Parts: sequence; C-alpha cells; structure tokens
Amino acid sequence: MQTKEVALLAILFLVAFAVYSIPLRSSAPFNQPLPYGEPDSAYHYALAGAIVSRDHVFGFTESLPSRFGFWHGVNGSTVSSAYPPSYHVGLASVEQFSSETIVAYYTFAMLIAFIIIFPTYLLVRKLYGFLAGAVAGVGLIFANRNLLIFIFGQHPSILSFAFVPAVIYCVYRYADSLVQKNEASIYAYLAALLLACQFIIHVQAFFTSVLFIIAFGLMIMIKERPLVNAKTLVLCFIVFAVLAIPILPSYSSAAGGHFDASQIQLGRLLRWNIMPSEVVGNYPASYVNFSDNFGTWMLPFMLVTIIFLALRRERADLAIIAWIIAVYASIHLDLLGYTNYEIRTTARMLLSESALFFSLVGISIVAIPGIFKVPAGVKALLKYGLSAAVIALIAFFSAGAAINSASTAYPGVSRINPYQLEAANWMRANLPQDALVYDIGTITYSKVRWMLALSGREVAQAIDEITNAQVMPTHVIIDSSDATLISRQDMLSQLNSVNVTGVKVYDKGYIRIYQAR
Amino acid sequence: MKPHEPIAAIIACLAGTFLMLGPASAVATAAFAIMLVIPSVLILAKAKLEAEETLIIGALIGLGIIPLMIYYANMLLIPSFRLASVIVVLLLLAAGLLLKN
Repeated sequence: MQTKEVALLAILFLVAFAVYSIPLRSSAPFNQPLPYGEPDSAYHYALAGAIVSRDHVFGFTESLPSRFGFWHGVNGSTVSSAYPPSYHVGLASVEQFSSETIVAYYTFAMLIAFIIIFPTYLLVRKLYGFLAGAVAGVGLIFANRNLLIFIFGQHPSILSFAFVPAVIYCVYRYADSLVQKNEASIYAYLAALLLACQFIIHVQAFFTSVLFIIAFGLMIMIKERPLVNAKTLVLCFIVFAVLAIPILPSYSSAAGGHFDASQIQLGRLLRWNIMPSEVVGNYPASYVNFSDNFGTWMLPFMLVTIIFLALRRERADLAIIAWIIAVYASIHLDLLGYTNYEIRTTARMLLSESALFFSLVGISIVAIPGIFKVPAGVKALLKYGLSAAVIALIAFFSAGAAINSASTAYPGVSRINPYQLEAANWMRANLPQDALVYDIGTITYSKVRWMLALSGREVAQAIDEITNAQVMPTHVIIDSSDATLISRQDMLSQLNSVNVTGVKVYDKGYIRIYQAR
Repeated sequence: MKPHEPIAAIIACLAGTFLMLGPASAVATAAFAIMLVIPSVLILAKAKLEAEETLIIGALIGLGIIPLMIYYANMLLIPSFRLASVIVVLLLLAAGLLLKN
C-alpha cells in the first residue's frame, strides 16, 4: 500500500465520521448527545444493553425479556431475537467498555454504516486504478440513502450490504486466477467466509451476493471456460455451511412469506426503479427517488461507463456488469418469485444501489479518457482533471443533500429530550424489573420505544398496547416535556387535567411518574 | 509504505473521533478496532495478501466471525459475557501474533 492510499483511507474515515456524526452532534437546542431514530434503532440499543447488563448473550431461540414483545406487536408475551446474534454481540462487546452508552452505541453504528466505503474502494481501485477507487469512496461518504437508513436505525442491514463489494472482489480475483491457470484458492475461501459473515449478520444483502456469483459465474464459464477446482469449491461450501447452518433457527420467524400472484406487475421488469407510489406509507419519496439520493448529474457518467463496459468486456468489466445484473435482480426480487418479498420489502434492497452507482461514476474516470485518442501523458492529465471535476460535483450536489439530511435529522422534540432521558435513567435505577409504565404525553411512537429502551422497563403508550398485555400498568408517566418545549398550551392543559390515582414517585423537569398499584 | 504511516493514520482517526464526539467515542472506536477488527486482520496477514486486502477484508470478516465466536464461547464455555469476549479476543490476538506465516 502506498503512502497516498494510507492517507486517502484515513481521510475517507475522518470525513465519513464527520458526516455520520452530525445527527448526534446537532442535538440543538440541547447541548448533549441525545438518542434518535426509529423503533429499530431503539431495539438494537436495548438488545445490546440487555446483553451487557445481564452479562450473557441470548440464545438463537431463547426468549428475550417481555419488554421486547412490544417491538414485535405481541405485547407482554415473550419473543426471541429477530436477528442472528453477530450484530448485537459485536455492539455489546464495544459498549461494555463505555460508561456513555449512547455515544458508544452511535459510534459503533456509524462505523458499521460507512464501512462500505472501504470494500467499494478496494474493488474499484484494484480493478480500475487509484483515482477511480478514490472517486467511488468519496461519493459513498455522501450516499444519501445509506445515511438515511443509518439515521432511521436499520444498522445490521446496512452492514450486510458492505460485504457485497468485498465478495465481488474475492470472487473476481479467484476467477481471474483460474483463467490464468494459477489458482489462488485463498480468494475462494475468503469469498465463502464473507458470504457466511453476511448471512450471519443480516440475510438481506446475501441475496445480492449470491445473484452476483450466479451472473458472473455464468459469464466467465461461457467466455473463458476456466477449469474449476472441485476440491476448492467443496471446501468453500463446508466453510460456509459450518458457519451459516447453525444460524438458520434465527431466521425461522422470517420464513414462510405470502406469495400473491395477482400483485405481480411484470411491467416493472422493464424499468429499474421503484416508484414512490408503490411504497407509499412505508418509505418517504426521498428514499426511492434517484434524484433525491444520487443526483441526475451522475447519469451521464454512469451511462458512459456502462457503454464502456459493454464494449470492452474484459474480465473486470464482466464483474461490474454482473454486479449491475445482481442489483437489478435484487430490487426485483418480488417479481422473481421470491415469496417472502413484497415490494415494500424489496424496496430495502435499494441500499444495494449506492456502492454500484458510485463505482460506475468512479470507473468513468477510466472510461471517458479512453474515448479520446490522445498521448498517454495527456490521458493521465485528463484523468486527474476529470477526478477533480467529479469530486467537485459530489461536493456540490451529493454532499449538500447528505449534510442536509444529517443536520435536519430528528430536530428538537422529535428525538428524546434531556428531561425524558433523565426520567428514563431514573426508571432504570428505581423501578422494579417487571414494571409496566403507561406513558401519557410523549409525542411519537419512536420516542416511546426509546423510553422503553433507555429505561429497560415496559413503557407503552397506546391504550391497546396495555390492553393487549392483559395486565394493568404498575406506573403512569405524565410527560409534559414535549408539550412544554413546543409551547403547546392545549396539550399542556390536557396533561395537567389527567387525574392519576396513585403515589407520585418522581416529579422533575416537566415529567411526573406515579405508582399506580 | 513506511512502518509508521499506518500508526499515524490510526492515531489521526482516533484523534478525529475524540475531537468530534469526545472521549467516549474515541474509546468506542478503539474498542471496535481491538475487539472486532485487529484480531482478524492479524490472522489474515499470515495469508500474505496485499495490505489493503488484509485490512479491509480482515475487518469485515472480524465483524462477522468474532462476535459469533464470543457468542459460542459465552453459550458453551464461559458463563460471563464480558469474560468470554475478552478471552476470545485475547486468544485471537495471540494467534495473530504468534502463528507463523
């Protein structure tokens, strides 16, 4: 590795950390890091925290504490984890060393969220050169969709997608070595290990990797007919099976989807994208729109690269073409007969676009100068000039959108406020483990889940959550902090008029807690 | 690449996390590297791959496999999660440092 590459990796890390840490640093108007994110985010925090506090992991099918039932819609009942153990055990391994668990939690989450930059850089750099890799890496820092999913809190899913470019790289290197009759079986074993890791972290992007291997394998077999070493493949399968098969019980709750042939719209096979109207109520339009996530300035660069790849068709080009096919197939899984995938689930696979699209833009640094018949020195200058221009475009368009997403994430009372954080910490220290707290006044469903995660107690808001639990609440929390902070007098009067029969056990910072029975 | 360059890069990254989010973030970043990345990178270094491959692929493999090893150690052998995680990582670090190429 050259000095410039060490420097580039460090710079990519620091800039990505600066961007991904914006939501935690911008807890205005409060001068402290405050939790944010959707209920999934609170779930990851709660599960890792439970592992650290009880000093033991949860088995694949072991029941979690009953408070986790609220995330699964089976309130008061016990459930096992919705995820294989790797992500939460890894998070707990890091969190155990920190007294400030909120900062440790988000630090871990942002590290795994932007780690995709590095395997993407590795793939593009090794196949198309340093400048192409650098452009792909810089672009991915500002991939708005990845940033949004990180902010929402679907962290294991993001990590799973980071493995795709690494799998592509290893499979390509192995195939390349076979064609050159100099088998480098290490890359086959690494690919098997990476696939197994992907499977045991989150199954989602595993499909993209498998689809790539099928597409690339077929292309290489047809074009180059390499002699495959059966022993290597069998060993790879054993490596994968030993690691992945014991994890299968973790996915038992996700198996058995519903396949409704009448819902299939074959016309979607003729277009790449998913329309906002097809996922309305599940994702904002800004999540699926190309222009909101990448910017239309990228299209000409991507188009030039695709034409370049299709015309040249060298081995590396075939790998990228296979990647394009794999991503296309991934975001059409619902139409390809994978029964557990409806379009709203398939929309999650859009995460696979970011690394591919920025890689295509990076490869254009090689493709565009190839169009012109100029001396090698001029071509090199052209590459540097083009790289600078593309990085300027990324800074001007993509960076602005990403920084805007990060700095406007969960503003003001849409995230936990300091009064709620203090009350949650008090509940953790003072309420019995089996307390069921009825929350009146906290303004969003996500924040109620965060109150549950932070306090480690069953905190529920909607009356049906309590009714479904078939037990009466032991405590009631009257939370006027949100209403006060947004100066909603109507809400404040309503909250002040709530008459709770019980003993007041906490009264601080616009929040009161009563022992109900 | 000179030997001090990766160390300088690591120090710069840790200093950056410290400046942006304070000591808790720097500690978490260091714990992330020591618990989940460095052991697998050290072991993969024995395979004589190129430096970037060792670092990046090793880090990804560590993120998947090391928590799984901690999980099995805790479920089957060592009752304490904290102890299991430290012992697994120490054993992997020792393997990475002591194994021959």
